[in-house]
Amino acid sequence: MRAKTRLRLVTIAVFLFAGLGSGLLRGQTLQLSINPQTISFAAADPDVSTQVPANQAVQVTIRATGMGTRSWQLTLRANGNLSDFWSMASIAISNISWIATEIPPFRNGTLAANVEQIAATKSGNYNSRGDLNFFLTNLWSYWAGQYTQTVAFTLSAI
Amino acid sequence: MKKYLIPAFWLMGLASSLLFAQTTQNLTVNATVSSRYKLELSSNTVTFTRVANPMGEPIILQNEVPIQVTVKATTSRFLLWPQTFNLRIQAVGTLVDASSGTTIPVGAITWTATGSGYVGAGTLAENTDVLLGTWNASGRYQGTIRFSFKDNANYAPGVYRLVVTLSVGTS
Repeated sequence: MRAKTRLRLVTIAVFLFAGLGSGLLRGQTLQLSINPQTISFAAADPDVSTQVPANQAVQVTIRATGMGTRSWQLTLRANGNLSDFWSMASIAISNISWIATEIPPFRNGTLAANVEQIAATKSGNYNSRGDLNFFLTNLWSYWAGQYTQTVAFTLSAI
Repeated sequence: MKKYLIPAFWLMGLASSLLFAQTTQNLTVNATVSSRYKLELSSNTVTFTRVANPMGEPIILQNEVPIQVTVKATTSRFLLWPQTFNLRIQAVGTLVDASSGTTIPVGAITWTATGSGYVGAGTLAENTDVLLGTWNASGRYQGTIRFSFKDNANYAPGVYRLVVTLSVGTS
């Protein structure tokens, strides 16, 4: 390989890795953990429990460092509606909402199918925990069944 | 041309670092919905009063306004085949005058009903379920029932009582 070509490749690699590492060099880290990773809504009489609470709150721990004045946000994205395999029935995921503690940076909200909903946002560093208490709107019109869906919690710099 | 390449790679690298500045966790959400059925009536008593000569076998409407009926159901289905559920009415015994022991056949009492899924008309049967409504999807179903009594000169004067049971379920 000619020396000129080699030099050009090395130069490109240096700049590429410099760019890749720029975030790290600034010391930006975003860490997210949720506990538990599964919640359940028990069956209930819609006349008695119009809003069914999940069996436990989801503890969301966020650690954002090296952010400077940059902002971050936590979004929740349901990967579709609640669905039951055997009945092929579904319940609109928008029937699930949450009430947050630690407002701000956390906020209350309602899930949406395949649409990110902001659950927390702040600029700068953060190292704390908030609880999200989920509720299911209980209606007579649901088909009986065992429904499930996953919700992606994404913490990102914006 | 070449002088733009290096800044372009720099921007690509910087952009990729931004893309990496995120982390994701997944939460699994489960919900259980059980089958359940509920029946609500606006009143649990109806009365009839003989007001005319029974020789003509007049039809006597209940003295009260029609009863509002609400059936609430969360039912199941397998794939696309739903579980049917029914509202049934049964006369527990026959009309009896407690003081004399005289009876009147429950077949003298008929009803008319309105509302989606309700059977429009029917006649009470002693200790036998009679269909009053049928549905095959979860929801709330409202209707009205008005009872009538077909009088007859053979019925002796008295105060007759009868218990009627309405039930909702998959049977």
